[in-house]
Amino acid sequence: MSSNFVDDSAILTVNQLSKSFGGVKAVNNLSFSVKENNIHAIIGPNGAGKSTLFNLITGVITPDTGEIKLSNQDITSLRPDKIAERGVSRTFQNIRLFPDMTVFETVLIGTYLMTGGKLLPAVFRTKSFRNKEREAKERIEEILKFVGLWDMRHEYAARLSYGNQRRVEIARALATNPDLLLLDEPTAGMNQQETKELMQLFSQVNNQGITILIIAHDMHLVNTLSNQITVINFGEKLVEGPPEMIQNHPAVLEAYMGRAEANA
Amino acid sequence: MFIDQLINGIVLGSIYALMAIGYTMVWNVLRFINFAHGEVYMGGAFVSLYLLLLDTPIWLAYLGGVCAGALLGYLMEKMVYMRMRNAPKLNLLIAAIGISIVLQNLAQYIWGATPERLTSPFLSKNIAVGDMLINQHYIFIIILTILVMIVLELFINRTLMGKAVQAASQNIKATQLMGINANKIISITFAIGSAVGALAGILVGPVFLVYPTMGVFAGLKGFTASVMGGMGNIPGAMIAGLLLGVIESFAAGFISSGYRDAVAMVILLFILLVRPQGIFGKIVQQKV
Amino acid sequence: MELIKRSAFRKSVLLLGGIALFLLPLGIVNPYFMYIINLILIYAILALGLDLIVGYTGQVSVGHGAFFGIGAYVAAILAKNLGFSLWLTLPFSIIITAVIGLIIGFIGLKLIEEYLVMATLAFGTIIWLVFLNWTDLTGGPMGIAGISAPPTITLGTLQFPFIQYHDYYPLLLIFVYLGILITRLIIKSGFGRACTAIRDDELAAQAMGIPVFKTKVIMFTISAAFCGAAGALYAHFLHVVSPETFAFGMSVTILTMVMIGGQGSITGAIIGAAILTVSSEALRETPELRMLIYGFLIVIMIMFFPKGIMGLFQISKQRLLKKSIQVEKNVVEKEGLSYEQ
Repeated sequence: MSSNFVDDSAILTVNQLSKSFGGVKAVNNLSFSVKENNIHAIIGPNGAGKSTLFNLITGVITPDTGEIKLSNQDITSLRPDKIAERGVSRTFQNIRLFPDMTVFETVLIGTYLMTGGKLLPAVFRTKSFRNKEREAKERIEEILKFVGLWDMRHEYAARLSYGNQRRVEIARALATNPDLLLLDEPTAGMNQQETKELMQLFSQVNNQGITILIIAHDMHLVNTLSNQITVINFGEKLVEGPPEMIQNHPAVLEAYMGRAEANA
Repeated sequence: MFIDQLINGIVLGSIYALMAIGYTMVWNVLRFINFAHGEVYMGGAFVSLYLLLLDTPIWLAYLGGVCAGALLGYLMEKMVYMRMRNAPKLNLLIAAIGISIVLQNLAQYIWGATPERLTSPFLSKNIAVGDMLINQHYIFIIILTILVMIVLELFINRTLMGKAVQAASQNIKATQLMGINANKIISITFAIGSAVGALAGILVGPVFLVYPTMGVFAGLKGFTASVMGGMGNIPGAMIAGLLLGVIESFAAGFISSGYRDAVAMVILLFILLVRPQGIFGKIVQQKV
Repeated sequence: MELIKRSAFRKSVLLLGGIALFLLPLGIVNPYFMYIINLILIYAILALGLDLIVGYTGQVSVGHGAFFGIGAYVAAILAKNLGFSLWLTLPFSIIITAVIGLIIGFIGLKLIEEYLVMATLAFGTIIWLVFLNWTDLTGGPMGIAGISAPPTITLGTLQFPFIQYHDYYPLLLIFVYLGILITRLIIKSGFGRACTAIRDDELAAQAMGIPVFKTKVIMFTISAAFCGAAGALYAHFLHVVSPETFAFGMSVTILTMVMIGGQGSITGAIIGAAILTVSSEALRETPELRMLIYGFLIVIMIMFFPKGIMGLFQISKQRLLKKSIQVEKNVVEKEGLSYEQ
């Protein structure tokens, strides 16, 4: 099948992707690509199929048709853990933390790919096992300091403020050493201060060479943060382009901005 | 001989189908398997038996057993499951296992472990079909099963309450948002599913006797039927129940009596291995 | 610094206590008490094994009594028919239960949690029917008697024969310690953490690259192997195995141990094993009353104290922890530093 997008700098290519639930087309023949090192935003009204798109990319659900490529490797219909292994990590729209774990323990789960889940080295505590465990803990220290949660590492993650819970989730995602980070409405429900701080965090993450694909509602955030925007509605791509172009696009104004302004 | 086995199979299958309905209905509204459902089957049969001992007219005793089953299901839900709505699924499963153990041993404590026969007005009569005789009670089981299926079908598709249950099966949260009392729907579902389960136990009582652990195998087999039919798929469960009964009845002919109950267990493990989504494959929903 | 000192202190106390426990038989005269204590040790291994899959991975099994039974019967059959000693039957019991555990896990862990419960229930029933009906191999309802005691252990000039209950105790204790050690090594590793993550949120765990199905199946296999080991020890300790020991009630008893003690806790599993062994002995004359009580306990514990007895301790520990964090916060605020960053 010939690809619509032959783009060597693309880290993620989605090609003619479709998924329906009981006759409703949640994602319909959608194609777009995410360039390496970009912060790429997906916007669109509620129910436009954004979260479904994320679940398709991360393998939580499998598409009816179409393909998903990661740096030219086909990842369509792979299991979520296999996709994570290939360098895609994510946060969830409704924060999903492990209820019984501290911040440190939560982020430690993210180092699974780094330490590997091998059983025998663990039981015999081999040297390489101990080295990997130590490296993982050093990495977590680095990440927690980076996201500003090091001082709270012993607190139960689920008891933190909403903004900090989101940071834990991001830290956990970073611990998997992703090339591509998927953020599903990361600032929903945050106050202005929290949103501002998270935005700073996202550009810092991006500066480390991690490509970000972000779903967002906050147009201010999208415009200042991202360098490419894809607008979707009813599961289909409406327009795509840099923020300057999207801001003034009539179709977007009609489908999305109108509502956002009305809400603002 | 062949026809005999077939009729036995259909009778057994009717019972499994009735049991499977209870699992399926509860699964649809709560995404949870009520492991204590087999004990509702047993409880209904015991209450009927007890009512008969008190010289209650037979139809009233049967009805009493069915009502007791409905009450038992309702109470389980109200006293335990409802209070655990926000608990992890693991806890709910363990609670259900606990309830099932309590009821089994409570029955044993009250009525003892000796199997007893429930009376049936038909058991001693046969109907001649061609040159063979069929026990009237078997015919009674088959007719009643068909009747229950029709009534349930009408209830679910033609009444307001049934439509609410159906809506709840699709999406319990959305149902709640629409102003329907979700807890009420769940209670009704439990009561109806349990009444049908208790009826199965009462129908079986005159043939296979009544004893405290009678619900364990019946429960497992009803569950097997609901898995075969595709968890959550009511017509699927009914057909699968019949199929299971017939398969079991024929397979039992080839196997020594000691292992007879193992047949359904092996079928269950086999189904879980090769087609866990069921023959009629209603997909088990991913929780996203 | 303080913390390291405290944990070192804790470690040495545990070590000393662990060694001191070997001296316990010196204080016990009544062989019946010794018998009970030995049973507790065997059940502790069972409870540790079940806790691996229930407490640490969040998957319920009601078939672990059958794994226990397979371990016991494998040991009994090998000992009786081939004259194997405990040291040979034990590895066989472990390997065979592990393989069967792998198969049952593979079947039951595929789709939803309920399938494992039903698969293990069906499996337990089949195994029980096999014990009961395969008379040539298992002795049918009578079971197998006359299973050999472990061979005398010789350490230099010292000889440790296995004659009375007191002699078995140190051996069983060593196996319990081994079980605890293996459990700890597993849960304090990437694999063990992956299991806990699956228990808490399967979807999030999978998004972290954890292969959910494979991890669950492996843990289930280990869990079954624990029960297999306990079975072999049981057979050589009691010298007799019979089917009714390994019926559904055994699976329930092990589950109750874990629920009472507290799922996801090593200490909890052992406390649960102790409580249930003693109460099972006390209620031996009225088995249906015993099971009735266990059923009630399971429901009450899971509704109101889902983390069992250990959960009660944990709550107070968390309160303490919260307090100390509060103190720390106050200090930081007084010094004019912001707590965040």
